[in-house]
Amino acid sequence: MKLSGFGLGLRTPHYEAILNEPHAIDWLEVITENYLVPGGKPLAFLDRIRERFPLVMHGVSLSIGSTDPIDFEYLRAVRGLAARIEPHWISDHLCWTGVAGRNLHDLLPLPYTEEALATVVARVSQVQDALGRQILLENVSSYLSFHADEMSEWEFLREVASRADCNILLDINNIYVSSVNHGFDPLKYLQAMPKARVHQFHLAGHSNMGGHLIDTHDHPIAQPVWDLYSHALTTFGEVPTMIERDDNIPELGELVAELNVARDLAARHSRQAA
Amino acid sequence: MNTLRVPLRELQLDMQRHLLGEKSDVSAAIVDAPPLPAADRLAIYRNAYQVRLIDALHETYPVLHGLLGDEAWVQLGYAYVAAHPSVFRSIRWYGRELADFLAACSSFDEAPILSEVALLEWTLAEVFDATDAPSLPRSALAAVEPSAWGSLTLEFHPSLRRLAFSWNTAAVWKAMSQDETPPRPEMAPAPVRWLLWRQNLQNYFRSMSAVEEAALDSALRGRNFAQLCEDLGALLPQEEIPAAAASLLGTWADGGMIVKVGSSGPEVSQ
Repeated sequence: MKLSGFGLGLRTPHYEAILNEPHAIDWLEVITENYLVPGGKPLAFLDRIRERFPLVMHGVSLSIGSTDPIDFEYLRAVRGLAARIEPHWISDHLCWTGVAGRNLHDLLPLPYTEEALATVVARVSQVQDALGRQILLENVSSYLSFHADEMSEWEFLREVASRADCNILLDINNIYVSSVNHGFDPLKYLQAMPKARVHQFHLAGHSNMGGHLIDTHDHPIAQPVWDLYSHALTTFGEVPTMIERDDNIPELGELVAELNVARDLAARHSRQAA
Repeated sequence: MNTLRVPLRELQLDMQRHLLGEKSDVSAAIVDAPPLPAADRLAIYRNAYQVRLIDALHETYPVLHGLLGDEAWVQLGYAYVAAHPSVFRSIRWYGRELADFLAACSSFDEAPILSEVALLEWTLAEVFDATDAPSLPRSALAAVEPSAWGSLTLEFHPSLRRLAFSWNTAAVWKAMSQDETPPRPEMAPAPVRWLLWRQNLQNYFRSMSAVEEAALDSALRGRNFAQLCEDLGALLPQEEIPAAAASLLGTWADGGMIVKVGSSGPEVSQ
């Protein structure tokens, strides 16, 4: 069955409420690495949640843009978790997280060069073969760019998806954050995306540091991000959408209310489109 | 260096060196444009790297953080992060060497209880998400034929861990995790052995007597019940051993610590 509707990122403080309280959450996104553990409570809750909700898996350490060898042991573990919970899809980020065996646990930007493009494309193909499925890659928030850039981030992402035949998780907040930090037009980014490959939207809050923005996931979604989401709905139609909150985590009800804002916006757009 | 032509590998190694606080030329490769100069752009990543790892340490070591207070905790965090770049896919495993680091760290070694608290918290995290295995009910032990008891062997739950504390570490941990004032650190007359395990997704720990410690050690080494009784010979009068050993097995079964019974001869060796 095709995934549709509005989801949330599954976070530990919400386990009980997700299972025991009435709410209108259509599906949940789980952080892959949180469940690559031998056993215990995380996997026990995940199994119970899986009985009731469709899931998607979202990784943070694939490091698709790294020049280190691909970690096939990690991919085997990811595939094992996927066999257990049968997610609708597996996503990770268009970035690198470390080299020389180190993990910096951050989503580091790539230079947008032909060399980096070839590296990522080759690795996506290997990863998709190892996982036995297409993956989704997400655009990250970034705070720096390289003199070496030969193309824009959106051209790079579009080329990766097209050449490696993978799909796209479009993070609306990340587009906005990066557009402020690098001074580009976020609408240009949206318009450059291949519509058929955009399978999921992320929404999240950021922190305004005055001149620049940081992707902190600790605030409600900001108005300019809602505005950009509205444009995304016009451009792509309704795409499975979820909210990420990683810090300053409120009661589940508060996030569900925020999710309903997205739901209402999408409904308004589909009425206008009809 | 012509930064426009740096191979991706070199660029990543150089940027990683910068984030790890090592000597690096990467700033020359970064665009310097409003709203931020290149140095500030890099600083966002350098700062986020350290803060994220210190946050991860807090997730595993909340009691240690509480004992140290914010200032000393952050000082420890920066020192540990500088000494231990992560090699883990999941940040869950970051901080594995913190107890050893504290024991060896001259600025903290006047308080050796801190290293024991760290060891306890790390071990509790291991117990929390160790491999699952269904526990054997006590009735499974009762069903063992009397003639088979001598050769009985036990397999324990994968979460089972043993620790030895020279300090009142467990009492301090308990008070801190219940938001109570911890007792003053005190050294025990002799190291106390602790047993940690998980039952029904819940972590447990308690101290062990010398007899239980010897019996468990024996069982974990794959010795059968008769051999386990032999191993207790130095600690208990002969006539008390079989009942004491059987009672320990019952306690372990009630705690959900036993997952399998097996058999290994010779049945009786004495």
